[in-house]
Amino acid sequence: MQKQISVWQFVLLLYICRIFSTMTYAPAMGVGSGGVSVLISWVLSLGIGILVLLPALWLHSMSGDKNVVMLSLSVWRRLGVGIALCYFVYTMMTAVSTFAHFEFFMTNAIFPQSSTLFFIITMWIAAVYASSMGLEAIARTGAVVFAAFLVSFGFIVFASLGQVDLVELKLPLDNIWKEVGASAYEAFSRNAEFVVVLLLLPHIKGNLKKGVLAFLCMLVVTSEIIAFLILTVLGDYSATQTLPYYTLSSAAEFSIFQRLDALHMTVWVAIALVKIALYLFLSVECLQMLFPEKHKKAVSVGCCLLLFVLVLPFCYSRTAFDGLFRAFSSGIPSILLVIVFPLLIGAAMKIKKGRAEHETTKHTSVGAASAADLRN
Amino acid sequence: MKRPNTLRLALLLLLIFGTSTLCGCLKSVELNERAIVQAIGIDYDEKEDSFQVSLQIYSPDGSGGQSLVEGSLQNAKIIESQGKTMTEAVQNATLKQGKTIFYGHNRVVIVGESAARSGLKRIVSFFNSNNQARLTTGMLVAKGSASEILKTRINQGILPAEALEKMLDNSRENGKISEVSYLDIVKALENQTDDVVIPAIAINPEKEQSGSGEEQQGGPAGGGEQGETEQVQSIEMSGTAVFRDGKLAGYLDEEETRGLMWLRGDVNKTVMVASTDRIRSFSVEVYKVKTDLACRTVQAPYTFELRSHLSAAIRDVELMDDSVILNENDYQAMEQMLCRIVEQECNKAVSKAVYEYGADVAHFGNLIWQKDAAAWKRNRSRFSDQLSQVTVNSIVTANIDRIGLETREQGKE
Repeated sequence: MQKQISVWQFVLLLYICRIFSTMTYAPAMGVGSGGVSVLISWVLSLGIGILVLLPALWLHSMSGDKNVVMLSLSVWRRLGVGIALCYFVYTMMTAVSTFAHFEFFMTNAIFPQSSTLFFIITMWIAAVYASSMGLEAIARTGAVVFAAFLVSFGFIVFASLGQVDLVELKLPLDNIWKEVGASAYEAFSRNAEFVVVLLLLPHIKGNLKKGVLAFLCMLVVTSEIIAFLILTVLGDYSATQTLPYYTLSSAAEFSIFQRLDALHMTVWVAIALVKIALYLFLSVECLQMLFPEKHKKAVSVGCCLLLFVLVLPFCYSRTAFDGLFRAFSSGIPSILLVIVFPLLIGAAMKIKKGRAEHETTKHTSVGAASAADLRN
Repeated sequence: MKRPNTLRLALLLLLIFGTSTLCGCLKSVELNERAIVQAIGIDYDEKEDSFQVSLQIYSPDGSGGQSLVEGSLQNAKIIESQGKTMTEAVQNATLKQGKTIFYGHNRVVIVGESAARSGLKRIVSFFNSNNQARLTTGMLVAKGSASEILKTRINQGILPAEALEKMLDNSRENGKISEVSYLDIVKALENQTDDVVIPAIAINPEKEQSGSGEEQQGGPAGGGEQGETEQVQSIEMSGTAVFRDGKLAGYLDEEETRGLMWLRGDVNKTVMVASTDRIRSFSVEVYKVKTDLACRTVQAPYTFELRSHLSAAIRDVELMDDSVILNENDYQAMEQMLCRIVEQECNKAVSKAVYEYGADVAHFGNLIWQKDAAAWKRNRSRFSDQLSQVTVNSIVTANIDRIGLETREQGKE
């Protein structure tokens, strides 16, 4: 497979996609909770991230030109198809979830009087177009959006510093390590980008290990800053907010700008577009591997239509939206797709390779014996 | 010549069509069709269990000649409406005039005494769900009716709300009141232990003379004919309203308010006036304050320690005897006097707000939680009843390090 993006483009793309989830992050505050555990959990999530990505790096070292779906299909036939479908469903549902979050934000926080369908249609058209342009285009857009995010983030941080109140930082009343563990697990379960690493492996040029470490460090630093500001500026009020980072941006006043939520909204829309486009691209790629070359266009069109159809119930039904969020937050999909499947595939590849080597040795020794017999 | 691609042409036309027709997510509202809310007053009618909302709307009162906005006029009108809930009251206000109400530029929310006593939670619920509401909007409690405060004629600035906002800013800068925004209110209401404090505002009973006799828009307090001097009421900051469990418990006077501000670390700058044995009176401007309130005992009786350091500059001094000059002992006496004033003000604030009203106005509960989460877990359910066992020990130091340019030489007048 052709290597299309550099490792730094890859890092920025992952970061931008992950930041979307961080911006919707609501620290578990309220009765019995304390903010300090949230801050500790982000540091812990760095270690978890490194551990979780070890199987991906292991697969990459064994076969750098294939992603997890290709490897599963090369190792098993029917099970490989099942695994490919799992990755397809996960990436498609992540795109749907991002879409639903975007729509929720626009119709609840920004334009409460606007039509839901308006946002669905416009974003769908943009995402389908961006996805059809391919990974290279998405990655380039990601880099531009990253720059815009940095500017808006810098503004919001700078403007919020004056409102920081350290009295809001408290230890949890119950077992601190239990809360830290729960928060770290949540951070892991919401990190769909670990799956992206597994799927984009063959597309990346450069040192993947360095890239992954850079991504995790950037993520932890940003998340710590966001969590700290949410906790100290909004205090317990953040627990009542669906989108605390947005609330923070609307409380941030900077010079002549009376509130910075418009800036946040602009960047948010761009980030949502990049994330939906990337996950749509990946879901299309996962499914295309199961079909012959001549059906690839049909698969692509089918996936785009499927995205539109799936988005509708999640945008209109709160129960469906909450259910999808709970499914992702359970962490089971992430454990299966990021840890279990890659380890199984890696182990199967090792066994297969061992058998092949054994067969080769056997054939070589049999051949050598026959040649010796013939000489004799 | 290369023929243009039909598909590209179609796309281009679609783009042009799209940019000209899909230029926004909402129906556009012209500026003259918007009612820009500058201040909101909220009163509560206990008998009818309904809210009365007064919206001060920007309405330029220019002559129509050279300028649309005339600084000498009110440039605002008041819309009043009632409803069982805040939302219904505001909805009814919309029906009273043909404009779309816009809250994005609201400068201040004034909660009337009746509404404050009925509880803040019903009020903040409305603002929480309103996406135009700004978290940084200033909050005030009116001693009396909020509507009356909004109707009072203020002869400063172009907009009454702007003048009100500036009055708030000036009072904050001079250490008269704390800066309390809507965000501070909702934070305290959501907090398990903190109670709300909001600066209070009242109508000055003494009337002032006004040179302009333009009829006041929307308010009953106006009157008089153009060019005549009229009697108008003025408004003034009047201490701090203290809430317990979101309901108004009482007020702090000016001294108690500053005491509370010392405790909360809200004083940045203030003027203090005092006297010593050798100085009839002196004024200093405290230009820098470092304050730290820490919990020392996490079990009842709770002890807190306020460490405060003031840096001050002498503004004016009136000596008992003009022949003496200020010496080091005088400076020390002045510094000691400043420390004593801060301690007294803190004690007054604690005895009124904490002992009398039973309100945790200085984050006492949070400080205990920060120091010892286990102790807080054990005591939190009965902490509000144990507030009378809170003691604050003040350790105040002051340094008058800017003595001014005036010098007094012995034997010289």
